[in-house]
Amino acid sequence: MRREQITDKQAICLIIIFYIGSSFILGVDGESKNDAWISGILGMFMAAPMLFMYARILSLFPEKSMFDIFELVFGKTIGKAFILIYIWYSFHLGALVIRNYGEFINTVAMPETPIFITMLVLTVVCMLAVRSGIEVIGRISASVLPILFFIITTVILMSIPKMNFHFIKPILGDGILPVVKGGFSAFSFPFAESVVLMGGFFSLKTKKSPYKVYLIGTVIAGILIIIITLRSIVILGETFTKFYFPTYVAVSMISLGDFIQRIELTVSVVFVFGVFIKSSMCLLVSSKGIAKLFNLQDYRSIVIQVGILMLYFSYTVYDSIMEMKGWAFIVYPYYAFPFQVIFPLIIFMAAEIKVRRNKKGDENSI
Amino acid sequence: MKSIKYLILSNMIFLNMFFLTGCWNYREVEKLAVVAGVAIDKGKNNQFIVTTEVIQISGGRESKTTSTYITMEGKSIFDAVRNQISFAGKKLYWSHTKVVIVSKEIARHNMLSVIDWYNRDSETRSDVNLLVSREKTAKKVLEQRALLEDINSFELADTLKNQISLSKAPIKELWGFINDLEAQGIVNIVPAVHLKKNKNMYSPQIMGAAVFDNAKLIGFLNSEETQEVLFVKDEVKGGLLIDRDKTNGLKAPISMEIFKNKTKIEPVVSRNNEIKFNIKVDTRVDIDEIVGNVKYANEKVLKKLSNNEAKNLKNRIEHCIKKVQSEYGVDIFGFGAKLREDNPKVWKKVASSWNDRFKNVSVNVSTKVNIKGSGLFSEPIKMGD
Repeated sequence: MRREQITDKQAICLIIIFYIGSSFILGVDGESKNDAWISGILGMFMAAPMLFMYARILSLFPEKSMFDIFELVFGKTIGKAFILIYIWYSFHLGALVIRNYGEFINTVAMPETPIFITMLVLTVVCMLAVRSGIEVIGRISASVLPILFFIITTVILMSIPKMNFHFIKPILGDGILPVVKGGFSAFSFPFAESVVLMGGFFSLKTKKSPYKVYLIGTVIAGILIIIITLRSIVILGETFTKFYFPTYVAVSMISLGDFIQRIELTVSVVFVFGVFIKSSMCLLVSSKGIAKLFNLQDYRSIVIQVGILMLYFSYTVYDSIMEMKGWAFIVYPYYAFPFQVIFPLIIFMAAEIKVRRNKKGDENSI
Repeated sequence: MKSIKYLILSNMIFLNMFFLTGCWNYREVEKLAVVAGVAIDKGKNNQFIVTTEVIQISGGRESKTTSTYITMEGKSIFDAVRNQISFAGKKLYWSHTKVVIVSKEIARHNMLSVIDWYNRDSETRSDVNLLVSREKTAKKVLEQRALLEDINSFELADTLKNQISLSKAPIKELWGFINDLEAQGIVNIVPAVHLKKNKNMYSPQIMGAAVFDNAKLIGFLNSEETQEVLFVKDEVKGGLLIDRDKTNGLKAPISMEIFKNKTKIEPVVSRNNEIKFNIKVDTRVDIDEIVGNVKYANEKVLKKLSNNEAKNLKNRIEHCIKKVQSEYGVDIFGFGAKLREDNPKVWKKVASSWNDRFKNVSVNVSTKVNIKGSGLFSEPIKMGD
């Protein structure tokens, strides 16, 4: 079978859209109020070592996905346990993202449409994309990202008249602690979520690619998220944390000369693409994991089943939007910590040892 | 074989046209009852009376927009709004609402019971203009015929929008009201509306402001005081300054039009934790009305005029601040908020007792008026004998 491959540029576009997917809908965090942008920066820096670690693991074993690496490093049994853990994480994350999207559409646009229908439509598209493979997803990202950039920049430019920059002050008014907490929240959502992409980036071109992709992608997406957070703050003030979808509300305030107004649906376009890419990647990774677990020839045969399960899971995972917000900002950082930090750390150390030993072995045999 | 495949494919695409046509519930434009404005009053037994102005579009060759009014009662605002279905038959469409008028009575009681639904619901938009009625009921204000427009609410919204060249009423959108309500060290002022007789019928006039203490109305400011407050809050974008001083060779009041204004509030904390505020007002004006023998082409005279006006403005602002401090005792200028922005540490100490402190806080006002022009005419009109 031909090896699937995506270029670095496509991978960077993919990771950017992956980041901005659901964090655009939910905003960064609620803890630090008008210092949320500082939390964003902090979260980005906290995530940097993790991202280097992910990239290092990937570049130690080129052309292998996360799941292959588990088996190579830990052997069959423990490797399978790790595979199971990450199948669960990406499956869960995908379900949460789909639910975010469903709640968003259900709350702001179509309150009378059953949430299941909106989520179903998204999931069907995701299943189609995943069945087509990572190459197609990469190409979609590369062609969609310029449009998203265009929308984001024009909307920011148009919202300048509504900005009140004194809302930023006082900087660090409540002390550093809430900001650090917010930074931790921003670290786990969205930055360190890119651990899932380790299962998708088996198809990068060179050994150096993972570093490049993770670094450039994170910096660009981080700057975008910080700018968007800042915009929400200067338009809405401290109350922005009380909204479920601050970005959407902030943009709905725009009204230029009486005829450019109610343009918040353009922002929904960004949301929809972001969520689509993010949940597609989660679906892809969990299908791949399951295929690896059961030694299937190709993951494509189970995409639809996994997708439908994911849809049902997302339908039952929360009872209400209040629960969603509470979970996303209060529970999630702690829940995701092992997946994002502890397990990768173990894998990283084991992989380093393994590779060194192999090298020694090679030298000895020569 | 291939042709069958194409047939099936094209059929599937064709069928999709019916399944994927958009929303679950679609609504036709002509079936919507578009709300232009709302008035909220208090009814008997703690009920709310909600009056909406609904736009009626009559089609045909000469399409004309008129409006009608629907009044309904309910136990809560939302209840009243939904009760309107039993009356008008259509679900109201809120996206184009321009104004929300709240009656004095409700504002005195508690604003929150009114604005929460409006801000929370996803059908409504929170960038709607808020008004407080000085009349007995808000309904009365809404139900007047507009002077120039077809729809009263739209005229009210226009009136507010053009306040930038009048500055006699603040502009407060609903989300801004909530923002200031939640913010520390600032309370709201909301434009006030009353009825004025014009050509043997009454029309709404927006003048002055309603002062709130948190969510409760505590009093009204007249139009001049409102302008002074707006000067302090740096919300003046236009309007007039009238000098009534007749000493400088003036025979009648002189009016100057404001073109630009910048106000800076600087909190100063002295060593023994005494808080003071420096207010610097810098205004650019044009002379637009002047009668007398003033030769304002002369620099000296010009300076005199502008100094005089600056002094005038300073007195007005100081007087206004004193009045607010003694009469209302709430920080409508946002001094506390400014202190919090610039000096959060000191703010934390005084936050709990800010209302009491505000009453005695000393303010240092300095004003500057720059006269930049005098319209098309370079000298006053002279009378020949």
